[in-house]
Amino acid sequence: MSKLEIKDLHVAVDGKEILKGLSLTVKEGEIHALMGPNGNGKSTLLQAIMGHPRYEVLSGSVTLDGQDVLAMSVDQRSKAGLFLGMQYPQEIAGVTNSDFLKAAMNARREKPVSLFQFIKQMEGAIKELEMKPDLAHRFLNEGFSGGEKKRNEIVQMMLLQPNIAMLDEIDSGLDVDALKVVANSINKMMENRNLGLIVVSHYERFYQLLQPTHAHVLVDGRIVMDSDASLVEKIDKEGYEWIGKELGISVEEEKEEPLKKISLGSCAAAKRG
Amino acid sequence: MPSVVNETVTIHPKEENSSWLLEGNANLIVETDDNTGMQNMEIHVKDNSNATVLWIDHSRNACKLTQTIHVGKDASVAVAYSELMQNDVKLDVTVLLEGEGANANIRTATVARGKLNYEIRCVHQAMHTTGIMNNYGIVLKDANWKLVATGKIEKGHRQSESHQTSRVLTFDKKQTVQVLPILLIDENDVKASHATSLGQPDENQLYYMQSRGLTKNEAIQLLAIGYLLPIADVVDDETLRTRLREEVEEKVQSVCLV
Repeated sequence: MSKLEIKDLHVAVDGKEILKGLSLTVKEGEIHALMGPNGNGKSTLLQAIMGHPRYEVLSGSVTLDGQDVLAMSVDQRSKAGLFLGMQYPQEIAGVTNSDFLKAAMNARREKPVSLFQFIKQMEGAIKELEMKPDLAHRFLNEGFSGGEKKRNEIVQMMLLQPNIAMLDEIDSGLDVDALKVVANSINKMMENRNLGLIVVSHYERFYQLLQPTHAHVLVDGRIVMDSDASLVEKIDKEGYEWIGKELGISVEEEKEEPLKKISLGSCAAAKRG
Repeated sequence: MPSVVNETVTIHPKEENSSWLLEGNANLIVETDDNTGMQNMEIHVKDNSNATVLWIDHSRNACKLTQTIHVGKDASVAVAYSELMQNDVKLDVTVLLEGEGANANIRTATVARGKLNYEIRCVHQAMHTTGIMNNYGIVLKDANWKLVATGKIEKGHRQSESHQTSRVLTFDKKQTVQVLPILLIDENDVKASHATSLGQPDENQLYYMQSRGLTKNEAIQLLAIGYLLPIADVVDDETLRTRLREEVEEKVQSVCLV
């Protein structure tokens, strides 16, 4: 029985505290919808759990089946059963999808996966996600459309078989049909395996397809409301304002500070003509 | 008299000076070994032929390779250099696109560990000629690599194209790398470009790969292999291509990059 436990987590990015004491428990078989206005810490939570070097954990704990996740390196977290489907998957030229995935699968096995098994699994995943068959031979995410990148995250998830998966806006960039394809694959994984999910999305449609068992609203680095799937619908219709009124807090999007304009100085172009 | 090559020929050169004439689908594979030392090769690629010149260095000693490759009318040549050894190397290559419609595809794959000095020139001496140069390398601690890549289009050789890319991956702070991309263009009606990157692996790329279970070293090795593998693409022969690929993978896996 896999269980991810987050207790009183405080996380800072570039010296600024984003998560201010967040607690959440996710067990296998559960789907947790994580909502909240932009800039309130949803992605920060997922990146901190996965171990992105920019995210500094100030205090609190994260454990997976009792093991201290925060003491693990990023690759150990993956091998322990965590997966993060990223909002912006990296493009890596020179490394093919199949070489990368084979290496990732072998990283968690004692005996390397046989070529036959690997091709079978990879082709199965590509077909299920309705991607182009040449995916395996293309460089990792390079030149992929937004939707292809997101589907490729799910291909990776299928092959790596995590126990707890976190999906960060995996539905953005997908059209209606692709959304169904992705949701079907995720639902199939939920049925066939011991899997728990944390899903960040802004769209009710995706949650409708996934049917979350829990829903949480994240405001200013804390979870301010826990509920079931009905919360998703209410937020879709009414937004977040009512939560602020009900709880007597301010609920707003983090405004990015406007970038200061700077001069790069003169270059050769300035002297031309 | 030059030696004529019209099929796949592998040589382990002993003579210091040699002269070659490549015709048809010729593949000239030069494998240097500990005794090679200095090599001076004059190579002519005949009109309308489609040739490959491949140098694979297996020498543990310092060596110096000078090649001048003359490319005839409507001829294509792929020129590839695989340098994965630990020795000091001086590479001096001049590709002369002499016939109209001639084209050259020049690639180097380098694991720099010693002192390396490359000078690669592609000179357009006729109209409608194309020269493409890709230099990819990884540089290990304490290595010293100087790469001067020059594309030159002389006056009147219209509708020619000269493109070059140099990408160098470093891992440490203690190495010396100098990449000088040079374009000398004396004609307006041409296309030319160059791109250069030099530096350590991207932190976000490494994180992405690590988040799928690869250790930092495994992730860097995959990136490094990705830098070097394109060398194998210039070779048509499947066996040779596999061999080149295996050599690259083996070499990268044998060195610790972190």
